[in-house]
Amino acid sequence: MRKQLLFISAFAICVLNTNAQTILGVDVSSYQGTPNWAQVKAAGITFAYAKASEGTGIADGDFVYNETNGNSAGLIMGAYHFAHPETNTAVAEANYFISIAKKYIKSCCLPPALDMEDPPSGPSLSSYFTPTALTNWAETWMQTVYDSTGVEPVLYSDGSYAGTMYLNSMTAYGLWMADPDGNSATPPATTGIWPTWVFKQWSFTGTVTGISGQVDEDVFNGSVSAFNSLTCSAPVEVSFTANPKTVCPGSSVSFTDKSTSTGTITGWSWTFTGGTPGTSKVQNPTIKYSTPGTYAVKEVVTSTAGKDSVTYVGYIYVPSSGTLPVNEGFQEGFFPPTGWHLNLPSPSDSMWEHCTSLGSNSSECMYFPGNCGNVVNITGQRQQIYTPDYDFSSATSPKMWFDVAYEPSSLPTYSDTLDIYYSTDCGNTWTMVYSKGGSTLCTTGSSTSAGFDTNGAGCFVPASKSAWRTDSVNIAAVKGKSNVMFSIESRSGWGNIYYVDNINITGTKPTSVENIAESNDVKVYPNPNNGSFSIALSDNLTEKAEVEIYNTLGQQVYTASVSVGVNQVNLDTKAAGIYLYRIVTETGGKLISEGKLVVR
Amino acid sequence: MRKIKLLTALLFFIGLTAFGQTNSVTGTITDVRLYNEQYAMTVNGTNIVLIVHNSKTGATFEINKEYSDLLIKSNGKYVLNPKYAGKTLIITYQMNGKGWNCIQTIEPSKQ
Repeated sequence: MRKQLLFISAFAICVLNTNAQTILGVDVSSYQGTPNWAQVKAAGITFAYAKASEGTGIADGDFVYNETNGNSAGLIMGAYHFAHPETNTAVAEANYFISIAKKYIKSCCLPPALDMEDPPSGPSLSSYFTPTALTNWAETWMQTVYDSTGVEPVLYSDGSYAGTMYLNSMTAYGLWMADPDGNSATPPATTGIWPTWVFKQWSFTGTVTGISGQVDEDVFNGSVSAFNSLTCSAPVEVSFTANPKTVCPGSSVSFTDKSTSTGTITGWSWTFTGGTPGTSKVQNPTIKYSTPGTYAVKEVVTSTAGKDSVTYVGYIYVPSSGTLPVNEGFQEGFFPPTGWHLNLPSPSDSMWEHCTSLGSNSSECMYFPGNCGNVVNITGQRQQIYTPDYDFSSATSPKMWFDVAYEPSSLPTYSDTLDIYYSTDCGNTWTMVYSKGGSTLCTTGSSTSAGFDTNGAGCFVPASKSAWRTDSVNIAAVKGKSNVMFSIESRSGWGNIYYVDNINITGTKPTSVENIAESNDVKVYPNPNNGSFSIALSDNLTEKAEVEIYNTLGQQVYTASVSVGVNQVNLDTKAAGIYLYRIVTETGGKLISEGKLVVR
Repeated sequence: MRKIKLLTALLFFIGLTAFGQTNSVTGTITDVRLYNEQYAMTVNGTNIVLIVHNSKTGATFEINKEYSDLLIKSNGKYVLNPKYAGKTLIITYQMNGKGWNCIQTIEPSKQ
């Protein structure tokens, strides 16, 4: 690339005098306001540099306007950075420039430029730096930008600095020479240690139709074809796909390179965190993932036009194994729970979040924000949270139930849906087992929340236990299967918030304690336990109930009301031993269920 | 439609005045220094730039003829001509393409 640039320039300087068409440009910053780029183009200007950044904290306020409208008007645009080497490191300034300008360094643009000149106030650069130090700073900036964009930058300098303040190694980069002699048709009076030049800034005080006030004027050193060769050497556009993106431990993923370049692609370099092998140089590698986790993939592509890279964070997911039964009440203090995974098709989308101030029977749950707080229409966003893998191979009666609270928006247009799927191949394919939305999902019997208020005033908040409902999910199909994971998916209609709590998944009836009179509507688990356990009542029970616990002497040691859903019982203060529990209706004392309880 | 035209005219006027405006400062010239191959100086707290025009016959300054001797060469570099030291001057300047306040004219102050 460097040789190519120098060759083009050297070639161009030979043909300039015979080339009737001089390629003129301007360079602008916020000092020029917001030019009318169509008029600038009509005035015969072919290219324009726009200031993107200065130092590590000044982004030119008109850069995006200039890039967008200059391109739209048909100008070849470029970005430059005003350096403050007396203040910052080269890497910090390069990264700041990249953060602002990289998006605009693409096919058919000017090479990025480093503007090295005396700071607006204070001593000159030469009082801070030796030529060696200044060259090191500039080369580090150039290399950092090149590594990120794949495009070789050029250096803006005046004749004095170009002649005295750089080492010869700096001439590997093209020179944008400041020489305001008012003549666009002559080469610069000097190019310092550079043998040639790419651009000449021939006026600091030019006037161009479409630009208010004075503007810097520039000229390219060469023919139209040389200009096109310089500016349209497209950076590589790196992209790839993977199939599948979620795999069981020990399985392989096939990666397919989708990168493009106007040049000829000459190499691929992959890095697979957590994969085997961890790196690859082939275009379409196959990688094995053995350990559960979430892994990034990086691809670097090199072509004759340059190189570029892309890293997809959290791209490959290998689920971990969980243990049945599950009673997930989101009480861990962090989210998602251990072994659970938030699958985000688009990282900028809304996602399941941890609620820490309310829940079905505690102060924690998970919720999907729906509309509230979202000024952006999120209709259609589908976000999943995956459970770990569970083994149902010896299950006798797979069951799943959970608590949900939802109230639709008062505007029927904005209806949300909650779906649940299971997968038996670690998330590669899914089967739906639950889908409720709108009034069907509603747990309050009304739709009074506005759900359309960005200040949150109309957002649904379950005010009490009665706003929750326990829903059962038929997962009989997973009986006898291993590697079963579930996906709880929000399908937003930009309506309202929904809340989920106490996700229960069981496969096999407890066998360690005999004679537990357990019906399908009552679950007591774990058993044996350490004094803390759950009593889950299905929504088939319509009467209010209470639990009574007796010791072996027949003394009642605990009693409390229980309701549909999951009820937490804590016997921590009681001695280890065998207890009897009875669940009866509050009215009439009718027996619903009873059994033994072992506390260790 | 009429309002849009009025707004457009107003924005155009603001653009002209903001970016093409000539300003002035009155005071004595201090702190003459080399600045990106030009000369920067301070007048009453305002940093202004005197553009150098290099030609085959030597350097001249882009300034009104009466003050073309504002800077004189001394020991290989340009310094303020002593005859202007301490003199109160009215200096007009205009922002150039690089955002510098470039001197346009210099006149003696009548005070």
